[in-house]
Amino acid sequence: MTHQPSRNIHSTDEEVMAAHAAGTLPTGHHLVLSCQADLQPDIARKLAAYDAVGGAVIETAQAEHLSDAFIGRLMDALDDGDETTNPVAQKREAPAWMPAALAEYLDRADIELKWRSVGPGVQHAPIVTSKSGERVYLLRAAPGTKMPVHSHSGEEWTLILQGGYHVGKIGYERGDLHCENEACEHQPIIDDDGEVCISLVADQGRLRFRNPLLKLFQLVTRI
Amino acid sequence: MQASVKTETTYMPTSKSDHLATVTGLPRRGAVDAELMVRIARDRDRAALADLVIHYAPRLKGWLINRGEISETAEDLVQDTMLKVWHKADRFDPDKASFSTWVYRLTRNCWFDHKRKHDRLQPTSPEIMQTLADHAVDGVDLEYEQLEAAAAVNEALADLPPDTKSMLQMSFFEGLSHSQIAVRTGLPLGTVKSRIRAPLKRLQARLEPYRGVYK
Repeated sequence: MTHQPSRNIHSTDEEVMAAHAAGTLPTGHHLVLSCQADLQPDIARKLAAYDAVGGAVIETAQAEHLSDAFIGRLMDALDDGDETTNPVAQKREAPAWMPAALAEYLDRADIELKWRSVGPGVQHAPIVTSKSGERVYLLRAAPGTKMPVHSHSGEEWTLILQGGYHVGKIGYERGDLHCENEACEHQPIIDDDGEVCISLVADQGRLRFRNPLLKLFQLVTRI
Repeated sequence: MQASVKTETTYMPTSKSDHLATVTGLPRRGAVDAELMVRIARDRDRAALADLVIHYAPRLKGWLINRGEISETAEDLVQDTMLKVWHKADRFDPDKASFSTWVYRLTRNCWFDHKRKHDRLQPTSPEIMQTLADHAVDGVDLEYEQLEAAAAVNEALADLPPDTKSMLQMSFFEGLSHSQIAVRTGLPLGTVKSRIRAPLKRLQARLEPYRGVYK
């Protein structure tokens, strides 16, 4: 990579990696980081090292008392056959740009991506919308598209899965994780190199557009 | 954390197994677990499963209780995890991760599954992560020698001063953020961060020789 992303998670945030291992990251951010590990072996290696710490901590963790019937119940259940695998989940053919963690999530949660247009050259496919306002979605944008100037009501993580974009002079490409704080207004411009840009986004709350017309548009598109 | 001492579970088995809760200390744990997993995968050996359950089930239950689950739910999830250990034993690959790491990820996965299925009214996060532990088990392509790597992890942890071990415990077992650990310990946040960061960096360096070629 020839550019220097403003905040690329893998080089700086041990606490984020530890939270991923501990299972305490917000769910959308957990998924995005797992997907980044599929694209960047260095991230995979670090997450694996943190999981190894988690396992080693479990080895010596304080034991909680189990109910007396626990092992009898477990041993009886061994004869019930393998009910631990969800037979409903259908394996779909994953496109080349999709990280394995995302494909597997979509399979197991039985989600079919539904793309819809949210503006000229831009399509949106929701994955998760929680009651707390946390959202995970895919964005697909044509080369050269200027995304609207916007900010967020929470921290936004964007993982580039295909193509790339620039924010000012900073470029992001496949495998880069672009993090923006809620206070920061930004305008990604999709690289005009002929390749459609696809990104996986985890954020909280609605986008905040500078343009009042887009605020109106937002009511219609629900982005 | 009690890295260098012999540990004992609070659990005594009641049926279909006469195995008592004799548990080795950390340094031998990885080798013992790997042997038990071979017996489970190859011989369908229930006593071997019981041995793993005796050591890990009470500790995994503790992890789940620290994530806010009640005792009954935590036991149900540990049971689901151990059923996966039984049914998927042939998928355990000691070249990719130690058993403790594998079973920890399975537990995290079961917990995410549970949240997705049952906690829909919770304001945060029910939907997403049920796949990740399974994915991580199969997908993380670490090609290091399991026993040596596990030993490296354990040595790295065993060498730590008690207060640092305790902080790792708070982070990974109790799920506390660095800020919460700072409040708990009364130490400045920067001190907490640096004390946790240093051993993890050393650990990554120690694991480096066991790293193979990524796909």
